[in-house]
Amino acid sequence: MSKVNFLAWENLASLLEKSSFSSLLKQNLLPLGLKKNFKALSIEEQKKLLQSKVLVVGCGGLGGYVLELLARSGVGKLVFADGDTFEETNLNRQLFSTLKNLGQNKALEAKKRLQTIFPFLQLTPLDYFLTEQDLETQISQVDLVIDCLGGIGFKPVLIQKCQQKNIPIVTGAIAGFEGFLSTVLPESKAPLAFYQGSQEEGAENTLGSPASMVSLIATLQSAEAISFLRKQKFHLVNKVFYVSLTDFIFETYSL
Amino acid sequence: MLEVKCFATLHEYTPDQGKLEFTPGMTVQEVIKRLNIPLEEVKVVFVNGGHASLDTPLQDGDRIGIFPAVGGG
Repeated sequence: MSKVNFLAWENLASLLEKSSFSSLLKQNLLPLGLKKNFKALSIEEQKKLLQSKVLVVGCGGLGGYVLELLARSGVGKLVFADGDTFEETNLNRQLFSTLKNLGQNKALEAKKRLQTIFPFLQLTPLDYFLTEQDLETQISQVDLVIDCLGGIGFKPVLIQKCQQKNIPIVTGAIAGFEGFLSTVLPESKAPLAFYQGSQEEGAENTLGSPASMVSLIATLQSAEAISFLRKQKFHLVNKVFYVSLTDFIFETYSL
Repeated sequence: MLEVKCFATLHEYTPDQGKLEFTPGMTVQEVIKRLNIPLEEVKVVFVNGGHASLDTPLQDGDRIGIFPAVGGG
């Protein structure tokens, strides 16, 4: 294993005035804030994460936790979109919402938070709802997409666009104390049957969205994403991993 | 006997002890009907861990999971 030097942010920040982040990586200089990722991650895997680019669609419940976990794992380039603003009913589960930022755009607030953790990350917030046309351009520029949309309305469009563009997507959804995730590749099956019907038909409208469930599915989506980024390995292609915290059922179904 | 579990908003339709009597020739659709689940609310069914359709024929001992639309984030 090659020798790594971890630099405290103060020192890293002054080096970054003269050198690029990628040139520091080549010299095996890594941020001290990432030290406890080792040896769960190898240096090579950490470098891969730092050079990866992920699009997160939705910065509310799932999106907030996913962004936090990807950022703290050192996924270097994050593009994240949400046209919505925080409101008081988000406080039960949306990580970046506080009483102080109600009315503010979710993507812009996400950036503010993540910057305070790792200023070296390349953060691109998009403070609008992505249209099909926006997806055309955004999807092509990333290694992976994570579907954190709330509501069944737009999820099929996002998944099908990713399949057309040949980019993997980790989709997930919750309703009450239940939820699931699945990975969709261009040629694989997709759990679109869960997203059938009108926006109002989703079980979440009746059962609500508690924080433990939202953060659990977001954690699993992030873990699946990181597995792909560090060693090109997915676990949930053509599968649905379904969790019920009501009965503590964890089940993998084949699509 | 069939093992039947209904999820999310359909949870209340899960039969007592999760067991439903099997009769030869039964399909998924008949299970849904027997449990009085509104058909339009059923979006996904898995039988023995694999994706199934309404006319999937069942065998004694099959495990059936019935799901509505789920899309919260």
